Amino acid sequence: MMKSLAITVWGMMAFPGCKPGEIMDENVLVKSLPLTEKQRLNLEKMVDTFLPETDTLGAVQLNIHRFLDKLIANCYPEEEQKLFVNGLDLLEGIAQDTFLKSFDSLGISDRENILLGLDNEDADEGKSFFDFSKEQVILAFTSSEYFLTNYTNYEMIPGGYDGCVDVPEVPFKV
Amino acid sequence: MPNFNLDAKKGNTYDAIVIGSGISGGWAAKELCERGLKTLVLERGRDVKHIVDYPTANKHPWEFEFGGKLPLEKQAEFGRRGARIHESTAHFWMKEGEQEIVQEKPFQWTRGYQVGGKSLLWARQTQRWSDLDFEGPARDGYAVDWPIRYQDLAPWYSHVEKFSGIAGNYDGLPQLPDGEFLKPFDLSCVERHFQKVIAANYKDRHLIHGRCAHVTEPQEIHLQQGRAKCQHRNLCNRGCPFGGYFSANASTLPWAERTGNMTLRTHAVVHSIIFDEEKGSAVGVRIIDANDMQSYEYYAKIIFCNASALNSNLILLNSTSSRFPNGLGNDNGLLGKFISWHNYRGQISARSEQFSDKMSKGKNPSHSYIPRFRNLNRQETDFLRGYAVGFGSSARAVQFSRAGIGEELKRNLFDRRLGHWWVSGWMQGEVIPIESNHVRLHEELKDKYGIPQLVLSCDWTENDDKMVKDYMEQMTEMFEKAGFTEINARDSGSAPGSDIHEMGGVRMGNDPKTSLLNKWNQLHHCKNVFVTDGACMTSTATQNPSLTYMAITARAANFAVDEINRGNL
Repeated sequence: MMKSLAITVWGMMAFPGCKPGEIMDENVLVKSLPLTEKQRLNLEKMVDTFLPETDTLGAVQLNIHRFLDKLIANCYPEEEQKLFVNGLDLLEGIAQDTFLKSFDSLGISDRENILLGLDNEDADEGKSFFDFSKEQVILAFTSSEYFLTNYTNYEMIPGGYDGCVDVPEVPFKV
Repeated sequence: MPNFNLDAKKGNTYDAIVIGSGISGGWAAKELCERGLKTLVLERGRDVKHIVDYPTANKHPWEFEFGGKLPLEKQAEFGRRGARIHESTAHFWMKEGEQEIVQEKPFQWTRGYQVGGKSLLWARQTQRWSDLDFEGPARDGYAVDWPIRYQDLAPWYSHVEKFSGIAGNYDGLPQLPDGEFLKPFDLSCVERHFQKVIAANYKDRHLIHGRCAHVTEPQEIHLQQGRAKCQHRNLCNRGCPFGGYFSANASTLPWAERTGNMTLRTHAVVHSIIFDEEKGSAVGVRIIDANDMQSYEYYAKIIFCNASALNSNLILLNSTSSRFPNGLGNDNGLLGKFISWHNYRGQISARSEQFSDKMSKGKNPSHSYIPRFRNLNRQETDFLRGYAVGFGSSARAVQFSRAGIGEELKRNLFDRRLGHWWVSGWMQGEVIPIESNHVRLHEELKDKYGIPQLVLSCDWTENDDKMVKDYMEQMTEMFEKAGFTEINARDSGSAPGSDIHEMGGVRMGNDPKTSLLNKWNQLHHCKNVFVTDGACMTSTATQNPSLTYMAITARAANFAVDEINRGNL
């Protein structure tokens, strides 16, 4: 069944290794964040924690960790990039302090608890990191081809407009 | 020895020059070329060819490399606005530093410096004026009397409507004359309900279908332009590959080009219009090439100034000579004065609890409209004139929760439901032109082309404040009668210009002592220069202005050709 679903992953076009012919604007040199291997893994695990794979694809399957890396590296000022990387270190620090383990090696419920601990006005920088990351993951997920074409009524060319029709009685996509 | 100057001049000579390739310049080009004039169209920005230069037109949300956000180096090109500009339309925004100005008072000046100008970005609403508008200044004692009336413009409204394609309903309202309509877009359940409530409660108030420049039923003339039916994509401002809405790029400019009479010169920043003291007329236009920064001159019998309202003011103010030391045609010192615009400060939104068993399908690129009802036939409030209202409630909101993380968040994102119908209204008020609202050239500061910077000095008056208050009261009352809830009426306090309907400064009038242009849009004192963009407007009425610029331009262009043929120009 999965194979019949449309899947395009975020960030494909940014990675010349994937599809060299599809870099859209050659004037834009696509940068990545200067992440250590650990930070990179933690980013992936954080994205996975926000939207894990269930009976539907998760954020990692849609490559949203790589998209966020690219988005923040290219579209946000350096200070905000640093705050984001600091946030990833914060996750690692809490994981080490609490579980004596790396964030990326924790099970999902421990990772959830660490993230939810940041969703708290007292967490200062942690809170803004949490809010920013969550919002970006949601935005990327809900704008993905997978989500829009399979789970919403997305239509680029509706072709018309009826201003007043009955709400169908059978389930339908909105 | 060959005379190089003479040769160069010959190569740079045309029958007509049109300054600007936007909504009015495109019409000047079309009419002049169709009537056989070799016409040079000057555009300060780059070329934007229909379809081929709409790079984002067919992109899905997931196809934007950064989800729509611009990379930092591109953001920087747009200054402080950069972080908020979406990749889908970034290519149609003016870049920071392209034309520096001095805001003596805050003014949000939106410029579309590319072929097609703002016709790529406009809201596409097109209503005719009536004599209640043309006679406004005379009746209420402001500005000067318009030198034209509805009957002068009516055939030209028809002329431009048939070609552009205007969707609308025949409403039979004297304050908003019907035009040449294609079928209108549908009204939603909520709009129909509000229409009935208004009709039942107010004699002079009407909610009608928005009249807009969309091809809803392509006619032969639209097919000839290569335009097709509007596909309801609501991605208009990326450029429409179907030509579903009217833009100069999709319509007038290719039409003009097809005659073989049009030459388009891009990257041509107009410095001034050249006045010949001996001939006593304008002979050409001086430009700065935006690429090589060199000055070039082009010559023609007639010049149409369609640079956009404020830029046309700037060009005329900068066109000085011994005869016109204060700017071309400016004997009375009124050039650049009586600038006005539309008051969009009044906003209102609310919720409709009704019609929870109804929804809409597809997308509506337009909205509905309430023509002006205040002070229509007589003065009845403590402010002059009135406002029209744009009203929208096209679709129910989609609701989903963003709560939680992990599986909970995922469940929430997938649990999308139809939310409430929301409604919103926005005010389109007439701003009374006053002399102190003006633009002028800065005495020292120049832009990067060496052209004096424009000083913008425009402000609201008490009349505008009173009108906003009345809008909020009246709309709240109408919303209450309709049973809407959570009504939120507010004054946005936005700066003048945010309506993108700036007008005036080179106003039309009968008397050369109090106006700059005659009834044919000729400068009173330099008859071969025509100004037919927003600068020519004596007053603003409440209608979205573009359709009137188009009609005025087509009328003036045909008059100009007639005058040439009669030997008068």
